[in-house]
Amino acid sequence: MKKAFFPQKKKALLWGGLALACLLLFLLLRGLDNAPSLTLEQALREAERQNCTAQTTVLDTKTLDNTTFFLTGNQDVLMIVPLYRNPLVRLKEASHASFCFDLGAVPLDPAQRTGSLCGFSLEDESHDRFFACLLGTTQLPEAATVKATAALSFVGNTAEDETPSTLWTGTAPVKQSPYGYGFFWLWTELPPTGANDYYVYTLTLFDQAGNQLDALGPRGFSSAIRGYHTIY
Amino acid sequence: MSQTPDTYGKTVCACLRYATAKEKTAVQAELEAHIEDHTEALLAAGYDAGHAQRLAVEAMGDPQDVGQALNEAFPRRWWVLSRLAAFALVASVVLLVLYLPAPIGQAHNYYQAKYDPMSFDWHLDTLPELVPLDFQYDLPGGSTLFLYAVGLAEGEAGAYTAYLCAVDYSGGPFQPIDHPVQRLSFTWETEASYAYIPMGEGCGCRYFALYQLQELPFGAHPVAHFDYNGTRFDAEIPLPWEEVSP
Repeated sequence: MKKAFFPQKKKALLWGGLALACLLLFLLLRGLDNAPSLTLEQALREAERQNCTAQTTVLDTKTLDNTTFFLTGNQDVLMIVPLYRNPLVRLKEASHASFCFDLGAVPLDPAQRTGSLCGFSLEDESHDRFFACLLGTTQLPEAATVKATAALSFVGNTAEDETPSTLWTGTAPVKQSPYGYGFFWLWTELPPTGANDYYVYTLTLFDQAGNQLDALGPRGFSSAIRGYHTIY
Repeated sequence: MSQTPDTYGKTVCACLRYATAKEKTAVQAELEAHIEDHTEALLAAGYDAGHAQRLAVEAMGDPQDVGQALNEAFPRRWWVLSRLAAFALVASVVLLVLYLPAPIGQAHNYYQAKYDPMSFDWHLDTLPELVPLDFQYDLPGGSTLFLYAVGLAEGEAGAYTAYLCAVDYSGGPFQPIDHPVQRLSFTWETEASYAYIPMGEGCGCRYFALYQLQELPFGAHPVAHFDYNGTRFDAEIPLPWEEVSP
């Protein structure tokens, strides 16, 4: 009985095609729960979906190295959503918001008078650099600028100890959102902290004439969220 | 010296440097079949068996020349590529088989949360018998928060502990969410609000949470409060007080 043999070329093409199909299937499965966002629109919608919030509007932007951070919000939340300049990094990184802050969160300080003043910090681990991002809102319509200071303190420091010295001072305008609150955010690069050190922030609001309206130390923040983000 | 069909075929196949053993066997069988056909034709024409076979083999030509010509049908590059493709196929199948349990497990976890949360095993010896609840809330973005069961256990000094089971799941088995089920707080009898960090277990698309409301007086009806990123609701939890004695 004559036997037909399978030429090497056909074998190579068939096995190579099957290998490619398996690899594509693997990538498809791998991408199912690590779906990247290639556009800003996709990134915003994905951040809203993951945080179970209604549609948001971009309020401000900040670019650090090759990452642009979009401050986006609605009447209930403020989110910081990153978008990478490099398309390959966008493909590699699963999409998510760096931070989501619930504006309805209960203030830590019951005496807080400004309604929803809050703040948090952002740290970048990949380059051993520390960026402080202070984000806040205010219900005071006359608020025009905010001044922030950062001081280095250590675990176990009490009121009787020496007052930490100020490392950084910055100012930013208070902008009005379409949702009835004013917002601000300040970015600065600070030296990384050690294992027992941490930064203490103080925020002071001023009106157009430079009169102080209100000031908050760390206990006055509505919430303190610490997060980490890799900047490419 | 005349060759037999078998030796002729082997001489030809010895020239095929990049053919596999199977391919050489197939080529040899093809050559022997061709010689056999020619031999039968010569036998039918009146030649004797030995003479017919010798003539049929000679008619095939010099086996070295035939082998060299046939060798061009088996180029080295396809021999190398076929082996590389075979290796790539094995590697990709292994990769796929090793990774496949993850999405399958995730799909199972999701559909358990959505359709059969009572089947979730808390591995907790102190968990009392659970009574099904049906408090489902749709969240923006397609996620759902589901308070699906409650149980009651008697503690010390006339106090009771309620066990509330809740789960959240996203719009699909491969869509992660931030797990809002961990943001419930509770009040009962007084204005005081109790926020717990529940015990729980979860993956990206779903999270099971177990809240233990301790030191409840007999007959209390705790109210669950949810306030998360703009979604707010309150739900009075019906506890099965008829299952325990005061």
